[in-house]
Amino acid sequence: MEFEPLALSAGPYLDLQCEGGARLIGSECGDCGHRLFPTAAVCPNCMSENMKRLPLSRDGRVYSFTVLRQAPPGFESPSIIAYVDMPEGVRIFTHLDMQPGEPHCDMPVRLKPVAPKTDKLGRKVVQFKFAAVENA
Amino acid sequence: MRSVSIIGTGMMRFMKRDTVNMVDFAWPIVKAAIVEAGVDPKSIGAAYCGSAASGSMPGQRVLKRLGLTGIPISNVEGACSSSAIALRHASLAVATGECDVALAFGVDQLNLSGKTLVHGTEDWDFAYGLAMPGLYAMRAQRYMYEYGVTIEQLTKIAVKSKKYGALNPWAHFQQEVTAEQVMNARMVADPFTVLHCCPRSDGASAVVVCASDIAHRYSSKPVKIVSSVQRSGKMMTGFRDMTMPESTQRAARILYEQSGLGPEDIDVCEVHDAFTVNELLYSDALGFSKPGEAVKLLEDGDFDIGGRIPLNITGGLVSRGHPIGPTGIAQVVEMTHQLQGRAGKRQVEGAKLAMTHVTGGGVAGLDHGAVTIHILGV
Repeated sequence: MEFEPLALSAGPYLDLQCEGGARLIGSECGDCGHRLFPTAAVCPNCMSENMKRLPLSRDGRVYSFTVLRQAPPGFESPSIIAYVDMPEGVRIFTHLDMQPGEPHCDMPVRLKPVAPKTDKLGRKVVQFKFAAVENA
Repeated sequence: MRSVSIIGTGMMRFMKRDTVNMVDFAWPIVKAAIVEAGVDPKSIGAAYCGSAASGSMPGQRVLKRLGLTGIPISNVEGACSSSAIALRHASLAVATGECDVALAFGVDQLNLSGKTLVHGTEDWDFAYGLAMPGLYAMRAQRYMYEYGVTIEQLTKIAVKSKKYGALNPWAHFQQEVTAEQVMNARMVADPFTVLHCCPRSDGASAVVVCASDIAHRYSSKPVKIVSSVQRSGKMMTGFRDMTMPESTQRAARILYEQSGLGPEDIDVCEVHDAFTVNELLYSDALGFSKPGEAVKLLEDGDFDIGGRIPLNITGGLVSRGHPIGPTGIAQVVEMTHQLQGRAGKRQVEGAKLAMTHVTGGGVAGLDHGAVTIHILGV
């Protein structure tokens, strides 16, 4: 499956071919060690351009979530959205593959690639979600 | 730096105004501020317009109607903080001596442009499906989780907001609601029903400022800008504490240091309550309460008129409405009238020091793109 970057200046942020399964890809600064998601060409901590590819763990923890009853154009309504904290120290804005009422703060979750839908602008939206560990 | 005072105000009811062009409703508000100030329009040395969704040069488009042209006109965009930043810059123009009298105003017409904030296409969170109600709902979920705040308590904020909105002729919503109505309203983003959220409004607001040492020439009760701080949120890619908006906390510390005042000195305050939970978040961040304890002030009536720190007793953004651009100066107009004893049914008796706080959001990695806080005094 081909993935086009959704956020215009983000590099490839999902690698389905990683050893052990799909991974999200962030960046780590080769000079100061600062990490972020999605990838970046320059470090927001030290302005270094020596940025390395950083495959992230598959497992994270829901920091917070909500059920967005009217999602922005191109997205499914309702959208269950969340910030998920990863062991690498980065926080990811994502969607949850769950029903309303299921998610809670500090819930363990796992990356789950999903078949992307194409929005009106032809962008492939929501290429991954996070799911309860047993459903990922 | 010279001291600066507010000598004229212009304000209108915020509501859906999509049958006239915004220029047509904005110029009378600007003119009202100038007339109230009693200044010769020719003495205005600079103008600043805060607007977030009105296209190119809304300042020039409004001011040309009044022939107020030729002077430097600066258009300021800072999302919801736009006109508060415009006021700050107008004040700085006077404080630094560039001019003696300056104008600041805000204008937006969201219901005609059909837009609220336009987020960057490079911005991961918004490109991947985030919307502002969702962002604040996530703040609310975490705040409720960490501090055991209930939906019934958040609902009380909505009921309080509508109670004061009903007293405010400028409010978009002027009707009281019951807790039941709030709970049963259409869900927007859990835990927020639509009555927890500010409406999309249209409107304009304006103030005229001048050097404090000449303010009494114009106004019998000028209101001094005691302190003014503007900051941006810090870029953070890790585990931010979303229950404590760092930019507001940081700006407040600077403000208190600058002014030699503390949260206990403020008599009445307007915070950026685009959603109900914001009253709790910002009460904590501004130091009116310890982290997680704002809900006690709410329950004890300390956020009401007669309480320790009347908060958003104008109805705030949730009831007065939120046209984005004009919101910051609307808060300043309301607090100016409080300090002048002109606030009618929502008057806080004997108020001497008032605070206005407005953020500007919508940039991933920053808790808020902008935060602007003013302390006003008489």
